[in-house]
Amino acid sequence: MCDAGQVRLARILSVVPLLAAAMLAMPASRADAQSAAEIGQRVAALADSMKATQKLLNAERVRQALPLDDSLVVDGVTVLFPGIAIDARNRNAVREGIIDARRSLDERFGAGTSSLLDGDLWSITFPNHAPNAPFERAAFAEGRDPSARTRNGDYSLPLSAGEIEDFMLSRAGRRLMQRNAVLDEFVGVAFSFRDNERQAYVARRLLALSASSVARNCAAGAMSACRAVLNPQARDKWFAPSDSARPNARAVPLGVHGSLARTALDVGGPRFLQAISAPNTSDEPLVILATAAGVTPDSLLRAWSAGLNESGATNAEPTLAFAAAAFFWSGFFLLIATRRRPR
Amino acid sequence: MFRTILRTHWMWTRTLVAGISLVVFLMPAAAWRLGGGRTILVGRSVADGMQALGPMLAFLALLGAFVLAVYPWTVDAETKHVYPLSLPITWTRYVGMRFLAGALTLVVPAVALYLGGRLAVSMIVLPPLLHSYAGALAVRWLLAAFVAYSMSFALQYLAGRRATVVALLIVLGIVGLFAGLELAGARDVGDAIGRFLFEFPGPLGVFSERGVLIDV
Repeated sequence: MCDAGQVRLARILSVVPLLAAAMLAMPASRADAQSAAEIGQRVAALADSMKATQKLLNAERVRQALPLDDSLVVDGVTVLFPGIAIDARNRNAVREGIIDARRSLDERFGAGTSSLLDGDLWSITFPNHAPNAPFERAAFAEGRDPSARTRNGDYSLPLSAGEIEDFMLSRAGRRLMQRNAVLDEFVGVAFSFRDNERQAYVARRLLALSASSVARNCAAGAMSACRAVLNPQARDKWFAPSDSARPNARAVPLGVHGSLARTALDVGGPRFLQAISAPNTSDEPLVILATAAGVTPDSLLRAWSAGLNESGATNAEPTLAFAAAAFFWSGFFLLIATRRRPR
Repeated sequence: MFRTILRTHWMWTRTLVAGISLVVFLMPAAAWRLGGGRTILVGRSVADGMQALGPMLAFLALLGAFVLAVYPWTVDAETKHVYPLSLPITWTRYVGMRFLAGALTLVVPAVALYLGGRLAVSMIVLPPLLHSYAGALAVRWLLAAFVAYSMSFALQYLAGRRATVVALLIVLGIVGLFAGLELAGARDVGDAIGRFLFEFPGPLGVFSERGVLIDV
């Protein structure tokens, strides 16, 4: 009842800015240039207010659809459990994961980096609405809405602190990129503070197997090809005329962009974290990343390319330890086989 | 004596070994077709196809190795193991030689897989950064088959005629154990057991490792 009343009030309130904007807009046509500019600012402020009211309405709608039964606030991070309450064990894992992620960010990337997580809000949902049921899995989503675009995989239960830490490091990466609209679009959710040894290998493989010969040339070390394939404004250069690509096909997936951004972070260090919020001097993500890292675009590309080449092909070849383990188990089973002699 | 055991082992199992060899030889070419065979220039079709057929290769390693371990024992059992027990060597030594003979025959399908991989790769033009790992794939398969063979061998020589029943009981026991732990809310214990069994360096870790024919 109370919720319905709040929604009604919010709806009424949403009309007020509209009326006020209309009233202010009418005399604006008669006012001089200076007062018109002021009125324009007010209209913009009112438009922001309208957006906030709309956001409130949306949040209320989601809350009504999925009653919020439980939540957790740890070091400025809010975790919601819409429609369900989780047990102490999972709750502790969430708490530990958040604390570990904050510590990891501050220790590895400089004090204060963990502030990226301040005010973060995400939800843990259970598709079958029963966290203690057998074979149940959990899904993480950005914000309140479990159907959000940023829904993040399935996690087995009980949750582990390590999984939560990894998720929080990805969230921190996402929030950092959101500070720059161009990079946010360029990288999406593919940037994380998490150490991922396979990221360079995967990026190299994606480039080498791309349908775009330009991307393949990039993988082979051609800097001009890399620059073309990593530039969202150079769509016409992503594919060579001889390539057979579907219309609107991407030359490289976002994971490749993520590995470039990660290289920029490794090159720039704490400076990168500060500089990324500065106004852009270019529309090209590579230039923005290089500037934030304090190097030239070519230097960043060279560092990235060198990282890709170092990722090597060791993933394909079985290691000596792998072979040793196979021989060990074979010997173990052979020993067992000799234990019984037929009579 | 080992040469005799190897020769008899080969005579008993050669049809089976030839069958497995033929299937694994054709597997990379089938992968190319399964991947669409469309992008003859970039080799993505082989990479995609091998990803899809990877579990089939692991299954062949399991099944082939199981039959290779079981068949010679069955032949010996028909004569109540009179021949091996009459030999002037210990039982342990005889079992070791029998094991080695079977393990050596597994090299034949592994070589066939290597040749099939080389053939499939020769049909496409690889871009500069991509390489063929036909040899690495064959070695991975051989190691997996080797472990599967030794497990089947141990099961057969321990359980004798009841090996099939014991194998089924083991499978059912493992499934029941995981289901029971899940129902009891002890999923983390089940996860730990699963990790021990299926992750490197566990006994079945060789089956979890991804085998690729084409990679950077």
